[in-house]
Amino acid sequence: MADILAQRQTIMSSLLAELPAASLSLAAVIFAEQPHRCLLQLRAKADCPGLAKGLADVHAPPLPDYNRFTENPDWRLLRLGPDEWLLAGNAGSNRDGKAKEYAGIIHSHLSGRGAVVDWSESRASLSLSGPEARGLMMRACPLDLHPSAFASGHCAQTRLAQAPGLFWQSDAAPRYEILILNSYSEYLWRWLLTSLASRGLEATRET
Amino acid sequence: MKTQPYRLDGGSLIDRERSLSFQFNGKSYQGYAGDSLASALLANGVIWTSRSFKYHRPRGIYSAGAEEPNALMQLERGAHTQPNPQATLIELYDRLVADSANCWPALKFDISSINDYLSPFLPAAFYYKTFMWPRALWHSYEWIIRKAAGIGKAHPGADPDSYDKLHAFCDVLVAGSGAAGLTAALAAGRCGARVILADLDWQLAAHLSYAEEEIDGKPAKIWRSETLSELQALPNVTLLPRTTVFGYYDHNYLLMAERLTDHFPIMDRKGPRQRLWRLRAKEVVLATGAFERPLVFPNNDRPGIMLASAAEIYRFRYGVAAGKNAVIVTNNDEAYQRAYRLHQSGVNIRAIVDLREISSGPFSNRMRQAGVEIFSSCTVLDSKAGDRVREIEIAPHSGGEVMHTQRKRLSCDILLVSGGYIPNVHLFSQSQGKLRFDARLNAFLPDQPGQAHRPCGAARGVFGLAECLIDGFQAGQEAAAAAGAAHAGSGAPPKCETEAGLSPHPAFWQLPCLKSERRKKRFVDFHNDVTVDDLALAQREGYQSIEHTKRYTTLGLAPDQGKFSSINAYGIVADMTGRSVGEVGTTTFRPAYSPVPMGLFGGIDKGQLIDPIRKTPLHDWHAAQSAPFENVGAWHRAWYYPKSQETFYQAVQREVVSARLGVGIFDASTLGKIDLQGPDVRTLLNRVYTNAWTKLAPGRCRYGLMLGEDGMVMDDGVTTCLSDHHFHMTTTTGAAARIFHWLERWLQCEWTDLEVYCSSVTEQWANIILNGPMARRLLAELVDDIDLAAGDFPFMSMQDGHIRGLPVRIFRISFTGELSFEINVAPSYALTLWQWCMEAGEKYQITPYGTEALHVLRAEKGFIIVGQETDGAQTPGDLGMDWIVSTTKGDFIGKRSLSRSDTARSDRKHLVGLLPVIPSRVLPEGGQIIDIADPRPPVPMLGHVTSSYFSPNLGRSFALALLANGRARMGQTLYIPWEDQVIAAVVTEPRFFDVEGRRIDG
Repeated sequence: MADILAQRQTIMSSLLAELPAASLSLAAVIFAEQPHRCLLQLRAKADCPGLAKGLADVHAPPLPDYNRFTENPDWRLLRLGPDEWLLAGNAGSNRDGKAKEYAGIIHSHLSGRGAVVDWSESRASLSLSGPEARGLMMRACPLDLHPSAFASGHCAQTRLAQAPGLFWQSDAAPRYEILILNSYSEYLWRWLLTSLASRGLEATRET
Repeated sequence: MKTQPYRLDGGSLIDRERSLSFQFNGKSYQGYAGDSLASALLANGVIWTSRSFKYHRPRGIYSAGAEEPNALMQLERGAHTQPNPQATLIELYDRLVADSANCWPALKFDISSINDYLSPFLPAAFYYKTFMWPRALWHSYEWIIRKAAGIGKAHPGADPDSYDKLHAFCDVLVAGSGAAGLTAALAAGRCGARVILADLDWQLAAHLSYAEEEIDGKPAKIWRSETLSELQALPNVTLLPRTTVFGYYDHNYLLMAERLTDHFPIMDRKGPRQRLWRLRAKEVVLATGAFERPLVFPNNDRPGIMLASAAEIYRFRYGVAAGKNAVIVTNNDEAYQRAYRLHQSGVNIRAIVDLREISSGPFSNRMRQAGVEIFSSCTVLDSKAGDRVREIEIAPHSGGEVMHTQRKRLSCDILLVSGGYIPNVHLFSQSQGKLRFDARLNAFLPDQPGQAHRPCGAARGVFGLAECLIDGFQAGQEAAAAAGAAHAGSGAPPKCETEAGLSPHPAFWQLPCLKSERRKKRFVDFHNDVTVDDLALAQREGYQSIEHTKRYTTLGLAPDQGKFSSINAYGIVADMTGRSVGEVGTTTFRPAYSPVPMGLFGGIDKGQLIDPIRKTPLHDWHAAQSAPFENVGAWHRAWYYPKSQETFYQAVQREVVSARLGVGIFDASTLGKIDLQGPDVRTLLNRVYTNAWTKLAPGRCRYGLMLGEDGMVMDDGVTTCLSDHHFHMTTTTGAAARIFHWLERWLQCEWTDLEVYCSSVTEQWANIILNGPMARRLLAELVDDIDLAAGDFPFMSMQDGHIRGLPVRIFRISFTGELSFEINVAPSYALTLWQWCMEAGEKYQITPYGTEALHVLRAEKGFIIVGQETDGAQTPGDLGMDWIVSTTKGDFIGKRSLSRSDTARSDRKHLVGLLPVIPSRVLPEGGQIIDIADPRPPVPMLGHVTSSYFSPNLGRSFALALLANGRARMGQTLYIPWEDQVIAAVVTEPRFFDVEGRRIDG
């Protein structure tokens, strides 16, 4: 399996590699990818007893409110709808690549009254930070990102440029994390870089 | 010659330390930083700047703002040229190059000015009347008209500039930064509200920089700078000079254009030229001010005739005398105040012509004391001009009669007109606010608000600096409170002592005029050359609705949008038709308030970014093979894979043969995939598909047809049972999102008793198809743990397993009729698996095939493509697919519609095959089918060709078609006219290759 793992590739990592190396101090926006991020979509009624048990069993944070997320060192748990959540593995938490395992654990508690769907392969996970991160997102996304309206712990499913996307704010700096369908990731990437370049702003990637 | 001969001392917002040079009509001039192009031209004694649209009459700078109808420029040359910006709104920069718009070959010698003499033959709407007849000659006329019409020239090349777009939100948007706007922003800002203050001017609150009054005990100029500093220091306030609020839409959504680099020399411009703000405001304060209105009299359009308020702005903001020997014509007392101030500051006022009998207020006495002649109850009969006005003719009037025997000539080099004030209600009206006519101001005022907005100050008829400061302040406080701003710390409104607010003044829509003078043109809309006579003609011809009058005469259709001129037209039309001005009403105010460049709307969404492109994980591999891509929805799918010298046709023929004789490989990753889980999935499938799903066993696949509620085929695809409560549905590529939402809609809105969870997993799986008789042998070399023999892995089944350790899910599904394995794999391994297949398949001459070959292959089998064989008007029966419609299971979507008499009749258009009589002829897709070999219209159309190809496997051409009563026409020869030929074809069953289906197991 080891050499097979080496064959894995994401569109986003090859795109990030194109980014010219710029000094962090000059960069307006710093991009980073969390490739093969563990992403589990959970569908169940909020009062489904198995849901809480399943989440507890994988040591997930408590259930969040709508368009918010909760977190602990291993996971982020986003609420995407009345009966929809997304459990995302954090960088460095060793959750990535184990979607099937965790899906199985949660699923075993649901007694067929819900669904756990592996999304890990479908979306690229891209983060943005740096002084112009908010400015860039104000161009890409039609939501109000002012700290009084959108802060750490908020998430949204919305349009990013002209593509459907999902993102959240992970700290007050602010740092944003975007999930974008693989098929749209090159489009969104080029759009973000073009927006920065048209304003003469530098981008770099986190190493 | 002295440079800038009309530049006087003062000028509150120019920087005399920074001299700028510029060119106008090829001649060099000097101006100062802070100048507008108009003020710099006036400083140099240039007042005649342009010619009018239709008659090419000489025209001069008339105003100092957005209402400017005359001074349109062709700004810059080459790729950066901009047609028709108003000189009053162009911020002067070094090395600016401008030319007059609409003059050829030169401003002072313009060939089209002959139109002025031809004007008796060029009435309003002459285009329509004259040139539409005779019809045959219209094409020749049109060319000439198009050349004559329009002003300004756009550069034919691509726009060299870039544009920025962003989304913004605020509690309070203040549009306009006059006294009212500034205090509105101040009050709202102090309350902690998120405030944006936008003004199209490059200086905020410019008027306060030269106002004479004191505010809070300080000179207005000082108070202005202190207030701007305070606003700048508030973190919750954004100040946006150079920003035009140009569109006001529903739910307080506004568009603003911010000019970022237009005020720099072209060589120094960096970054986007302008920025589009897409703003959602909780509250809007409309502090858009008022316009001074022009006066309508014979030859009222000469260069050197100008608004009195504009002369004041030029004198005190820019330190420029618009003229040195002025006459003022007015109907109001405020003009006296302006006149007095100008007279004191070096613009000699020679006389005041007052249309009224008596003037009141302190300034008329002061003017008399200063020795200025005042002609009461007098009207203007004519003006004469060379390069600028040099003389006017006036006469007393009484009761509408002009006493022509008492005519008098006054020489002057500038004629200042002041017809009272018109609140600027454009944005208010754009937002669907209702207007009412105010008889005191003789103008339309905001009445019922359309949205969460508050007009204040002059924009709602409140005049006078003291009143505007308070009115704006209150509007700001109220807006902040309404927007839910947290604290109320706005303090007290600024105090100011002024001599007077606005006095009532009588309406003079047009000035009293001698009958004999009426053949001279009296302009209402300057730019579009609409005269009083044109308005009269429109009324005579029955265009009495003001909207009709506008379209008939082109009133208010110019770049200035009739900002200050339309009001006179409403009044004149009211008098002509015996209605009140309120009854006549206004035309509709529409965005954009001022012209904005088209590039602004595109932003960076152009070229490659104009529309998202979706790419499969194998996209780069296809591209490396020089495969062209076909657009399917937003997806790019590999269309065909040409080898070195191959044409499209040759490549497709080769791919089609290989996929039937050896093994082909195909990227089907774009196929829509929906994961369905829950106890009620089977019930859902039974309701959305026409066939039965109750008994489908785990590991088995079934083809299904989805209908709309109208019984028409909407989508098709294969759904696989993974376990009793878990299914994997596939949809066509283009319909994936639609079908997903279709399922969710039924589950969320209608069938809330069903417990089914849908999840789009289209991109969780890449899909690689091995197709052809060699597919099994090839796959057997790769697969670790699946027995591929037909007995163990039958058609329409699925197995999970591994290929060289890689987890895969393999389906035996076929869209070609050949042995076919659809391998689903994680996208991050898709390229690896594809390459393994290519390497191992080399000995079988594995052939990648694209969507075109796939289309030929499936058509040979008569398999439909929803959207190609269907257009939303085909039942399963029309397609010969009654076999898939269950008559025994319960209800399903569309079932009832299938029993309607029209859907159930037997002679609808049926899917049939067509074989051209000449086997090498390929029918045109979309070709119309008729039953007459020698057609002469009218010919009844029997149907059309839906798919048509040349098949190397059949050795001939063939087609699918929808044909009226087609199944009853088997064997008939029908005809497809195409260009100048008629192609004959024989009707057959829509199946051509391997009709018995023997090839499916390899």
